[in-house]
Amino acid sequence: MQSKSAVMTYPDKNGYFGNYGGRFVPETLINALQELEEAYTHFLKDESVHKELNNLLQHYAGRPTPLYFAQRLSEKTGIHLYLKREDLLHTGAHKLNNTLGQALLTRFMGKKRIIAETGAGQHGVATATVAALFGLECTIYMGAVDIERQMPNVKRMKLLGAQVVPVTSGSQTLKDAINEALRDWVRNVQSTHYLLGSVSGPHPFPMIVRDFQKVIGNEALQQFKTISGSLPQYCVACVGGGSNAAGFFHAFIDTEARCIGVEAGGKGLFPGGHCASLTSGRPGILHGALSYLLQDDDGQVMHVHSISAGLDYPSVGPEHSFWKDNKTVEYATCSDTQALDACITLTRTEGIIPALESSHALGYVLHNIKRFADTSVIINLSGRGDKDLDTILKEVAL
Amino acid sequence: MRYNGFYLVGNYPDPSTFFEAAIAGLQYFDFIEVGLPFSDPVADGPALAYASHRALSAGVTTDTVLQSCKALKEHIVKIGSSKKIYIMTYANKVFHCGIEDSMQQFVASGIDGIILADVPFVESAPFADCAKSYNLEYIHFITPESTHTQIQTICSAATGFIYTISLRGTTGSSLTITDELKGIITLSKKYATVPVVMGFGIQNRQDIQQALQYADGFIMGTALVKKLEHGVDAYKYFLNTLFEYIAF
Ligand SMILES: Cc1ncc(COP(=O)(O)O)c(C=O)c1O
Repeated sequence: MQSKSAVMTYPDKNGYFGNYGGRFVPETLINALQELEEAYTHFLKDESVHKELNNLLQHYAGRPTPLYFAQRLSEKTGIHLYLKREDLLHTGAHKLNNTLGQALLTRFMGKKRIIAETGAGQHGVATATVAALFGLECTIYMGAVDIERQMPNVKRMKLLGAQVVPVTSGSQTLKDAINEALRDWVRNVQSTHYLLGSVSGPHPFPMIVRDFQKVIGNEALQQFKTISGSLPQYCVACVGGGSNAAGFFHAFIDTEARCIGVEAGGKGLFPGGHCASLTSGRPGILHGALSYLLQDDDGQVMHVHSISAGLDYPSVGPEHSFWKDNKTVEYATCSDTQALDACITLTRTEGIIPALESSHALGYVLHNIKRFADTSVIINLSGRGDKDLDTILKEVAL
Repeated sequence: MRYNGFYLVGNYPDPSTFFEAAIAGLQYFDFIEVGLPFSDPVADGPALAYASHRALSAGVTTDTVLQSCKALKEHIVKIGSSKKIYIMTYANKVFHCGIEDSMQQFVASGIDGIILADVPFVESAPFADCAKSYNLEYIHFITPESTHTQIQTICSAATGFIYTISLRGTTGSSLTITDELKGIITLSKKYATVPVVMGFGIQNRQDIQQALQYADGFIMGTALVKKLEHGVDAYKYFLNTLFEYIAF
């Protein structure tokens, strides 16, 4: 286990969390990453811009989000279940915490255009939202497969004034959307900020996005202490790129609470059936970072699958790889069907429709009831399920 | 110090066509860059990304491409030539099985140097140091974004040649020689002790002539790979028209 100070000082000055991270991008992007890091250093020192961000988080985004004790579900399961309600944040997921922060960095750098990748469409909507709010031009790259399964979010992005570019190469999902966004950034690096949506990609993104998402864990810790005067035994979050999990876990990592990151187990842990990069990948380099990667024997990135578009990604943020190796955080999986079951259970027991991504965190807990019996567990409900109705209704008879 | 190169996707469209095209190209060029296709080629535009995906679907692997490279090297040696073979690929293709093992395999296959499209100078040490210990050239990039200091540092670390990326963009973009680019090439030539070679966007005779006004050499990729998709005859005809009447 790392000591408190050791965990808090990562990444190192080269952007590494232990062996993981780095800046594996075409040479053309190196100075843009440097510029972003400098903008962030400036941000950290500037009290007035902190105030501006906090003001936006409070009055525009709706922070703090509640920590809700799910009484009926707790009675049903024998677990003291608390939900950190990021689903109630403006635009419907935690993604806005990061896009508001990066919008301020964009303004500082004097760039007038932002681009982003999106899987579930939540990061795309959160990016299009800040583009509207800050008067920036906005292009979102989204896999054609994801466009089909997350149509409500595509419409929202367009309504917000963003251009949505369908990506038809490769698996036509999040991975390929990131490829296209990186190509756009290489072409337009002088005018454009790539507003990356998770704790993945090249340094400094894993650090910046984590820091902007830390508000989740900081609030949850205080809220839990206020309610119960103690700490929870477990903190559970889903892991796609890993931003909601990293932001949530950071406040708890050096406490007694055990953090569990839940990856998408898809149809089963066979090649192509899942996206559990930490559970069954090995270190590799994709999209700027060295991290756990699902790849074949020839070093090609594998096709992956998840019912939830936001988790459908073959790699993961480098800090999670670091946490896996030093056992700071435990990683587990939840299958498509377990996630769907959890989604319906929460909907019908508490009247909360969770995103399919977030349903993976809940699904893991509900399928391991014995392990969690009589303990208190905070689940980060990273987003709401409105975008997933088509997928959910295909599986459930009304 | 003329040093001109061309890029082909390894074993694409098929191993024998690739081999014939490589030999034909080496009659005109000083070196070949052989692409080891990668599933996520972020530095490539649509044409080369498509070619890489087609190659992968056809079962192209590191091993099969290196077999072709080995045969190509044997041919080069047999005809008494000293032309070079570089592997051009992405970091993970070299990293996933161990950098050292990759370098050993490259040397055993007659490779002279490596070029990694997603490894910038700041991440190059583990790759470049290992390459050096196997006597492989490690090629660094200079781009229109590079600062004076960066150009100086990169030039002093350079082996083989300097790969000057002519534009902000992916392979297959179109070229305009700007004052900025001229400045970067002039500066690179001032500091470099190896040839300064310009790549990306060079599609025809006119581009070549322009590039050679400033750089020591040029690299052509997308235009040749596209021709080769129309068959080796179209490709050879194109090569001939590029070089006809002019010794670059
Ligand atoms: C609601 C929700 N949760 C989780 C994720 C996964 O991303 P991350 O692992 O970065 O939190 C997404 C991504 O789109 C999402 O929309």
